Amino acid sequence: MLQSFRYMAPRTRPELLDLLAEYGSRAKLLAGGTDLLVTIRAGVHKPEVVIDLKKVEGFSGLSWSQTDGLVFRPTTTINEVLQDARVRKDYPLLAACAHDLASYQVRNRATVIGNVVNASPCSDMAPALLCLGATAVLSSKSGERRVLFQDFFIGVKRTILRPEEFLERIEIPAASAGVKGDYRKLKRIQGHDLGIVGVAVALKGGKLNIAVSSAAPTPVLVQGLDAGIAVEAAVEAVAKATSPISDVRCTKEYREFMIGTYVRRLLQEVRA
Amino acid sequence: MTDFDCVVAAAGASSRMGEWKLLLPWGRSTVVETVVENALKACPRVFLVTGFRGDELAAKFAGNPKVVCLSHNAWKQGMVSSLRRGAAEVTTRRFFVALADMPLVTPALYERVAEACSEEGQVPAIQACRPVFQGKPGHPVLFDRSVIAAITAWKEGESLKGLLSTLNTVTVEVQDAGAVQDFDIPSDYNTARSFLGVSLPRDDAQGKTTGAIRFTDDFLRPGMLHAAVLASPHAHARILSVNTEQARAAPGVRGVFTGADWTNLIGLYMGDKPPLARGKVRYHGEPVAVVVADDEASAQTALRLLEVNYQPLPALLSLRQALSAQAEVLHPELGSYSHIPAIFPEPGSNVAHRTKIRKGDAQAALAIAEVVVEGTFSFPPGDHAALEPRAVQAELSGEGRLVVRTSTQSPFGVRTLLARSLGIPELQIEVLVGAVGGGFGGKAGIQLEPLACLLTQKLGGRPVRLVNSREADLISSPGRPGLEAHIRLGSQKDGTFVAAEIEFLFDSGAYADYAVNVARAAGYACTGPYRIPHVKADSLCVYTNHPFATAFRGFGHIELSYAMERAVDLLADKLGMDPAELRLLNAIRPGDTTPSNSVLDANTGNLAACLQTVQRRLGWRADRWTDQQGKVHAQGISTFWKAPAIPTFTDAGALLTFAEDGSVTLATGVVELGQGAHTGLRQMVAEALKLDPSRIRVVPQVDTDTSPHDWATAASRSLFMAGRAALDAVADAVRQIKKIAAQPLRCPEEDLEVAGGRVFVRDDPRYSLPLEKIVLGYVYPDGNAIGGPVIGRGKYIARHLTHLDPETGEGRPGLEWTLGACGIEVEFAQDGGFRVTKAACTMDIGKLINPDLARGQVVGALAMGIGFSTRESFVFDQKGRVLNASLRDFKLLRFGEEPEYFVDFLETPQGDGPFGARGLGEQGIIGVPGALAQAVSRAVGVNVVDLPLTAEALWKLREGRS
Repeated sequence: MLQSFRYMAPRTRPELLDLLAEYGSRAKLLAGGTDLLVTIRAGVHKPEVVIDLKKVEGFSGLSWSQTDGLVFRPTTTINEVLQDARVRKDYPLLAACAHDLASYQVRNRATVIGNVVNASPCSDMAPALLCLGATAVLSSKSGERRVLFQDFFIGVKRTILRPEEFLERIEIPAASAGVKGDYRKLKRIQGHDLGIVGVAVALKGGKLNIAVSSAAPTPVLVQGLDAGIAVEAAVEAVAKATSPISDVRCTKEYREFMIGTYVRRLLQEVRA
Repeated sequence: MTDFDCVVAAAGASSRMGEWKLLLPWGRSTVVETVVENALKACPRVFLVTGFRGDELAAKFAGNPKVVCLSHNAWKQGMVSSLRRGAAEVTTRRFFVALADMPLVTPALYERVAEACSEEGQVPAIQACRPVFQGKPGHPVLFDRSVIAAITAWKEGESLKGLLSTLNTVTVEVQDAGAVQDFDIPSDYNTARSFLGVSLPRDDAQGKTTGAIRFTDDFLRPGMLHAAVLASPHAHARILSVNTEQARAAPGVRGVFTGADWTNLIGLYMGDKPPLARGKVRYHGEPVAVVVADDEASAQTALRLLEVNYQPLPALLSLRQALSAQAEVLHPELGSYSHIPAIFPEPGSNVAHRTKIRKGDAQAALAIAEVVVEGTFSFPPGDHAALEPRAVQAELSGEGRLVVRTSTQSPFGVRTLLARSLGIPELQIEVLVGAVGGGFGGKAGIQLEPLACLLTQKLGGRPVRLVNSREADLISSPGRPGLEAHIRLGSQKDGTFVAAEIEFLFDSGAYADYAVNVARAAGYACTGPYRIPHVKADSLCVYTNHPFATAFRGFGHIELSYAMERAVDLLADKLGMDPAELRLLNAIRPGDTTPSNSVLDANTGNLAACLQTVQRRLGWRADRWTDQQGKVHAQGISTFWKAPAIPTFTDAGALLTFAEDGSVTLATGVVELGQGAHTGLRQMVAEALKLDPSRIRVVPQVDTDTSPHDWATAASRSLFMAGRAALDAVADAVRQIKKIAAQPLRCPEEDLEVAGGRVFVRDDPRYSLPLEKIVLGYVYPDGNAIGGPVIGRGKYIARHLTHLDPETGEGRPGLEWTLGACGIEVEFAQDGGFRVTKAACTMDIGKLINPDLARGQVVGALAMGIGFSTRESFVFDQKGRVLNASLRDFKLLRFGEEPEYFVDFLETPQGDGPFGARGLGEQGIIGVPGALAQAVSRAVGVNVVDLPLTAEALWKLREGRS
């Protein structure tokens, strides 16, 4: 479906904040566009203004420091994450989730921040960010807010972001470096597909975090389980935290079954 | 095949030929390159012994590490001296010797010779093996390396024949004249040169890869109006009102129309469908209203301003429910619809058509059969998902004629049906069809054209563009039918089939379209390619509230094959027999009868050999096994057949004309939809005229004003029927050429021959004229002229076809039966998902015209069959709405999921086919669902009954959930 909108491309952060203050919910932010343009075509979003983030100074790339940990900015692409040596070495769970997101071509454009602000229940990056204790830094003209990702998602396609706010940074604590973890994503086809369910498990300092996508209105985190927890107890804890539904991709029962299966397999793998 | 080196003797100067033979054009390259290419298909390495112009040959093959050029200074000494030079380099236990001027020696001949001499332990040991055709010794010759010493020592003259007479040489009878075909003079070369079995690049390869080819929707032009269609959100509802007021007032809007604007009924075989829903909607996606505006955005914007008030009705979604006496009749007017005589609607019910087969007494035979199995098998409707969504542009020309440019498989069918449904004489309609981006049956009928034509009529004849979005293409335009099949199959204890009772319920959805004929085809072919003396079958086309269905690749045969192959597997299980053995035992042969009691004649292919080839390709195993990584593997095998479901009077025309330079143009009514038919036709004309294909063009578009009539580009019959018409046109042109040329060449017409772009006296080729001096008339030196333009007229019409008896199904429906076998191997990962790792198909196609294109068709069909079996189906909610009406959720097979393909062809000639060829476009898909279901059933240990085979479906099957 065709529809017209105004395209704006601010060069600086203050310009962006001004535009957000002015247009608020009438605006949509464009980074990779892999979700936004599809939803505009489908008529789901009808923004008056599309604000491109790609030309804003300082909004690209990723960095690491002992104080801030691993930092992603508004246009950091999934492939940039995958190609980063530190991510591959110290944040294997992040790489596993990123690798299961769409196809190589889409990962060239899709951004980490786009994947989470979209707030799809089947977000692939959310499970890693939840398990690793990542923080979202939200900015607006009135200042900055910092929230953990378990507080960021509030419903299907809904986050705590206010209309004049944008997600400026994702910080993954330096302390999460070296955390052992992996991701399993059930798909209808081999290769890129939306997840039917996704399960991430991370073993961090004697504690076990499990995050699940496509199994509730938001990605779900079960955190702080004892690292030695009985397998079936972990399966039950996850089952309690999730509430899968039946849809075009599969039934509720199959989702429940596969979540349990993946939790069992991942536990065996990360505790090996 | 065992690894053999091959020595190719390429040293001679071809003195009698007048020019050097080896670099003359042949196939898509040259004589010597064809010889080397053929040798390399059978042997890993070729030693090319060169002499005369050896440097040129060395340069030609410099880039190919598998070809070793050996320069041989003493080449004038003859053949054995070259052999000696080559044999010195050979490292394999046995080796071939071939000649560089025999391009008709095929890889199959190498295989045949190798097989003949493979018997070990023969005494005395075989030293050489030579093919013989009708008593004439031929090539390639296989030598044992133990004779190298004898070759080296050989002194008595340099003939190969002399040498072989001193060795223990065995001969092998071959049926292929290529084994003895060489050419020493130009007319031999021109006559021997073949353009069949050669992989010429497609005519449209460059245009399609560079994007230069224009498809229907590329013909936009200023002033064109754009239509947008509102689709029903309900599967079944009464339309209480449509408020168009706001939409009409929207900027740029030129017109808004609803079902109330017209009274026409449109249909292919039965007029059951209004151009826009009238009073009721019968499926999710049915067009309800249309907005026409100056541009697409305005049309889409205005579309959202339409207000439709529906009263939802209970939707009829199950076939059994639709057949029950209490079911609502979806088409109460069924009795008044006009339809063709070959279909049998049952007014007052939801049965749009029923084909009955009554052969022998199935009930009695099953009652006494030693073993009987019974099963119900099903799959939901789906879609073709052709790359190009349907598109059409219609307008009235200056003189008031309707001009329609459309993406269709059936230009003439569209013309006729438009004339009929709009009440316009055919003379007043022109249908233009260029490149079509895939059809798969989905464009075989009539689709968007009537609506576009009605719109231009309402809008003063202005051009109107109507194009499906992908989403509309999936559900608003017709897809493929769903099926529920019930089969009882009985056999003797040894596995010999005795009887079958078959019921097919085809889910045609809201309208009948082609599905009535799909049901008919599945009826007359219901058993698959098996010998079954007693058959009772009812094949029904049933109305439901699903999206409506049309032709789909395989046309009834993929559906029947799935159900029947599953039943055969149940029987194999019960008998404890290898499923391949059971199929082989019952495989149909010439002399057997089909379910409609028509006898399979001498043109029947070799099904047993197809089955055995597939078994060999798969390394057939009837068990399940686990590999070292713990993955479970299993294989499945099926056989299939197909006869095109065409009218008894299906025709094809062809027109052959010439330009002043003697080049040739063939016009047909065949649409190029990616299948490559135009390239195949070009090769046939080249072969018949013995003219280089670069001098021949097949008109790439069809224009009903000027193209010869052709039934439709469907039913895998273009190469066959348009091929026959093209050959007829060539023969007609050749007669005219000879008639004209006989005068200046001063000889009887019957002494003349046409080849190589010349017409010449057969026994004295010195008397000859180039075609360009004849084809537009001959001009004598004094200026007098005779003849005039040569115009070859060709035609073909199906022969001996009859209608089916309404009560017994007796009759002859099939132009030809293409037989084949299919094999699948699957690999199961730990999470229950599986991958198809091997897909094999062998078909008896009569004659291979273009190997690459034929293989492409079969590989594409196998891939489509894998998608069909594993995922490409609609998912409905409880109200009958399609949940996966976009490619995001209607998943197609991806490149990364392709298995390894094994495609083979057998060539039992089709006597009435052009050069013996029969149809092959659709057939590769037919056996896939059956073979795949068998493989999966064996791997998971539970019998699959329903498709698609998603991971979840298999989980439920294993868990015993429904």
